[in-house]
Amino acid sequence: MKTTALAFLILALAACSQNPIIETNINRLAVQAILNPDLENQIISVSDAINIAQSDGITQPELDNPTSGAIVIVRSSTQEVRFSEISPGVYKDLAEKLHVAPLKTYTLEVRDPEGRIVTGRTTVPERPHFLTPQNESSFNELVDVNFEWQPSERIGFYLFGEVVPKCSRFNPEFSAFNQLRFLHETKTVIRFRQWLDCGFVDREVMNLRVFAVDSAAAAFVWPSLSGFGRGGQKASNIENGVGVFGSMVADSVKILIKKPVGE
Amino acid sequence: MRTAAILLLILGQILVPALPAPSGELPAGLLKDNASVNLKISITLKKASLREALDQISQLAGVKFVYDDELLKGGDTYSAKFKNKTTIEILDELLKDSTVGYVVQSENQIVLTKKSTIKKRFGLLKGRIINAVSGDPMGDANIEILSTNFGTASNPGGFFALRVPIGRNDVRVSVIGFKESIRRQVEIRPDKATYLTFRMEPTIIELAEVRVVSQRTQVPQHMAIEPTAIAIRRDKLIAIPAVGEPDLFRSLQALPGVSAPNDLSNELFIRGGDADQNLIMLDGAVVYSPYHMFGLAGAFNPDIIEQVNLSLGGFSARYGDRLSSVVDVRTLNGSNETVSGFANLSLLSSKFTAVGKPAPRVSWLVSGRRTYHDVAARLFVGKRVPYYFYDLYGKLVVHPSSKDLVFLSTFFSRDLFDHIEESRFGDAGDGYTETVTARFSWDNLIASGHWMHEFSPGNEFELQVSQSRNPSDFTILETFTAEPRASETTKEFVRQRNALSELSRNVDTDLNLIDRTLRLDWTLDQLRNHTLRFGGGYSSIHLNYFWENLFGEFEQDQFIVFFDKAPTDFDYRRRLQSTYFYAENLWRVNHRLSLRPGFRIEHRDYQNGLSFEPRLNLSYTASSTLELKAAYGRFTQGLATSAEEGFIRFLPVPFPAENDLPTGKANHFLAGLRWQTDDWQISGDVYYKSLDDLLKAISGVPEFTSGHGEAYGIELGAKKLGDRLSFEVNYALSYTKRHFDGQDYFSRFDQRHSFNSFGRYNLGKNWMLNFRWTLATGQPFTSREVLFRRRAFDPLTGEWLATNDAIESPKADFSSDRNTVRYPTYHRLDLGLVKRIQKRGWAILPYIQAVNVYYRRNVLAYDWEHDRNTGTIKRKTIPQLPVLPTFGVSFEF
Repeated sequence: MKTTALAFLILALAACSQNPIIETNINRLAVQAILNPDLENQIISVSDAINIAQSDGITQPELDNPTSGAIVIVRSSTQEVRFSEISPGVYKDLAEKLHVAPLKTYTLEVRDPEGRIVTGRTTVPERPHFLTPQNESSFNELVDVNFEWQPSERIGFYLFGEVVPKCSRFNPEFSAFNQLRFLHETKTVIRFRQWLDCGFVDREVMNLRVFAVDSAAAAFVWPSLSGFGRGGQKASNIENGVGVFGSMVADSVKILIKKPVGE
Repeated sequence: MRTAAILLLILGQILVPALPAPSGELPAGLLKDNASVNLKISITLKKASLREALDQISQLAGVKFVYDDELLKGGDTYSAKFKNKTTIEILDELLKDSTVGYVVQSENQIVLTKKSTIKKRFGLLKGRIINAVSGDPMGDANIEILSTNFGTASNPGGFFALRVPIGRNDVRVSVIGFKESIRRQVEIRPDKATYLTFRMEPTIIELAEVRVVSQRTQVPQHMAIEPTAIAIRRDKLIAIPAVGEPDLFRSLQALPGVSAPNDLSNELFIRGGDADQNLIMLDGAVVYSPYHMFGLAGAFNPDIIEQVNLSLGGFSARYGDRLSSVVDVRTLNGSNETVSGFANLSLLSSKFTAVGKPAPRVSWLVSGRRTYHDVAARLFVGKRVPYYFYDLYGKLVVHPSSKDLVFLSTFFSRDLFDHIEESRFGDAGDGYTETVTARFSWDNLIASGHWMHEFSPGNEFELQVSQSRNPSDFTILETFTAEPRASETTKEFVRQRNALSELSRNVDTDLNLIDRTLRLDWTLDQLRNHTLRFGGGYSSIHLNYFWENLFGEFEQDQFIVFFDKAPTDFDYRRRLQSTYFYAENLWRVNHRLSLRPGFRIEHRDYQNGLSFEPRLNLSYTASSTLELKAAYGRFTQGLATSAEEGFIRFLPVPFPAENDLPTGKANHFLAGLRWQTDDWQISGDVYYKSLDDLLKAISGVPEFTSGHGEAYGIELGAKKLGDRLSFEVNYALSYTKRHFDGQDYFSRFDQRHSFNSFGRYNLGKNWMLNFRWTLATGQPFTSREVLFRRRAFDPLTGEWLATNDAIESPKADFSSDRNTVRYPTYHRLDLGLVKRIQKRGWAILPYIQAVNVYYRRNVLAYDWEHDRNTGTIKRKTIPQLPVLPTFGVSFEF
């Protein structure tokens, strides 16, 4: 009886003494870059990330940690491009333009002044091509419109939607995705003209775009654009650090929407 | 490593005093239970009389000989040497030329008599032992012929058969926890079997007198060989304090090896397995969502439960299609008396259960439960509470003959959330009303039919047909109504909003899972040392999942909607079929050692090939108080919910592994020991469980990937059995790991240490104090690594623009290494006090309970909020349950 009671007391104390923290990673190097063949230049952002799990409060200046003076290199089978720092923590392929092409693989290496090295790897997806509808096809309002495109290789998912210039929910300087959909299939249907957060948009031309997004970029994009309030946590594909080194490529189509006769 | 060494040391300290001193004699009381006429022994006889020879055999083999002294007077002497011979082989040799013959009465008893009178002197006594309250058959009951040494025990179906001397005999039946039953002057005839039925009355009537009876007594015979099979009866379930009212799953969470995700959920995470890896059955039918209130309450009313049989691993081949455990809920089998029952009023619900026996061979049970916040709020406060649940249960038990038992049962539960919110906008006389209707219903509909038939004692089967349905429907509808005298502009606005609302903003789900199963279990217990069980079954499962516009209404990291990363729109319909066959043999090798080899073969039409699942159990009785057990088993699972995260699993629906993904598999390696005295039960178990081909949703699409995991640990338990104080203390050291997407991590439900104690103290004068205290390591979570300078995507150009916008989210928020940080240590004390007031045939039991009595602020989760004014990110703690007092009253009649 006494032995048993003592045993359980010891075990209870052992449970109390368990250190709740297994491991904390403080200030890992963070990289944000998504390559796109349609852009004139590619941009890579480098900064410090802060692990906030064990902290009661962090002020904004503490979070604002751009990493200057880093060596940022992207390699492909035919190129090795060193990016230039254009503002604190922001690097661009100024000296030599990085040629980004579908189905080509790129590796990233970032070394900061403290000697920390992080790496990433991405293969640009194959460019999707709209099969239907044809560019500038005409449809009546409130009629189903079927969209279908050719499948691309090396994708995480497709990002499909109507692009509305300068009409974002939070910042009017940004364009917005209306009817945003994350798809694994190569087809979808739009049934109507939809109200946007920035107000009713009575428009005749819908500018539809489909992005083939690689899995790294997909993991980054999904929580940002899914629209559920705060968004979720992003998954990182950066070795020894956090962040994203991904890629995407798009196709677009414009269709005309007409009001039904009599309206 | 050091912790493990300390635990082993402690385990040794506990167990060493329990081991009996070595002795040449078998312990008293062991003879009848464990001896075997087939045990091989070696003896040497030198001019020994038959009586002396029998004594030697009896001492070595543990077999009892029953004879008339006159029979052995005088006679021959024997000189012989027997090596590795059974008692029967030795007797055959010794008595081959003798006038003395023998009859094997049972596995441990032999009757000697004159060969010429054997057939005439003994007759057959057969019968069945039945629980008088529930009507359930009772295995392991002791049947004795008074003033003789004749006796046996009933099998799991309650049947027994015994050869006894002809003439009139007194027959006594005893079972722990039940009143002894004696039939006087039972006539045994040489030419015809005598059949008796004993209906055992429980001695446990008043709560104050409840004893915690031994696990070994309660566990059904087909689970008795398993290392960690636990049986819990209704009285124990309702004694553990819970939120609002007693709950099956809350009570199970107090057991060793079972951990709870948090205060808000009563899901079971057993030895590193996920909640969907438990086979939960009600009257043999599989239950897929046994919860009310998104998991806060269990779907089953504890008053209908006769017994819950829980196997934490290494379970019988008759169970399958799950990787971790079995929770087999058996309900009351009606009554043998007039109408009786229970009723209860608590802060959560009111419920009523009645059992009755309208005819000699027919009994019934009906039960209902409903929450009544909605009714009370409407009546007393005039407010509308949009949620309630109810469940109904009915059972009809028929004994068409003494060899047949048929029962039909049905269970229906519904959760209904029906919220309407109206908001008015606009100027006076020119306004409109926005009405948001959210309606959610979540049902369980289970029906099953059973037929049990005994062909002869020890030869019986059970046929079962069941259907389990899980329909649910969830809609959010937004409508706009213009006021009668509103302007044309407002009316046009309302028309547009309605059109858009109808087409885009409404959430609509339609989910339905239907499982139809036919199964047959056959038991052959007619061979001396073997009990053979075999059977098979067929299941047809329909999965119909449809939803649209799901997101926008839920924050995905707070609630699990269907699976971890569900798409906005989904339409999924499958019909799955599976068949299985199993066989196992309980082989009593000798009076100490039993083995149960078995296998299960399962074929699923949606996966490739057959699943072959070998099982092996071993039990070794070291002494009358110490038992050692071990098990190995391989298990497979066809359907999984594939959800890992979330505080509350909002409708987790199962999916099959398709498209060349392999079936989920597990291997269990278990070993344990039980030491039991009159007052104490001490147990120690070790386990290792490997989990392969686990299912998980790929981000954002309804496709799955597979990973693997492992779990291992040590569990220690002590149970004090007393009239005044009964309690259990359980400790578990466990490691639960997963590997997905190239990452090794601890599961979200990994609890390094957990300590649970619960019990009851009889304060006297029919007052009873119930308690439960839990202490556990905090569960792990994934930290966040934030960046201020996040980059934002412009879909027009495809550019990723640098931004430091502080309007919505000032940060990019990356997952850190998975589950590397833990919440603070969890502990909580719950207390309950109950008084029993007996009034003739009635009993009234008012009670008061409090959860978290010392207000431990256990952490459910952390959240981080951005204060735009100060530019600070603050950590906010989302707490678990506060102090939560409840009260109610129960009635028994």
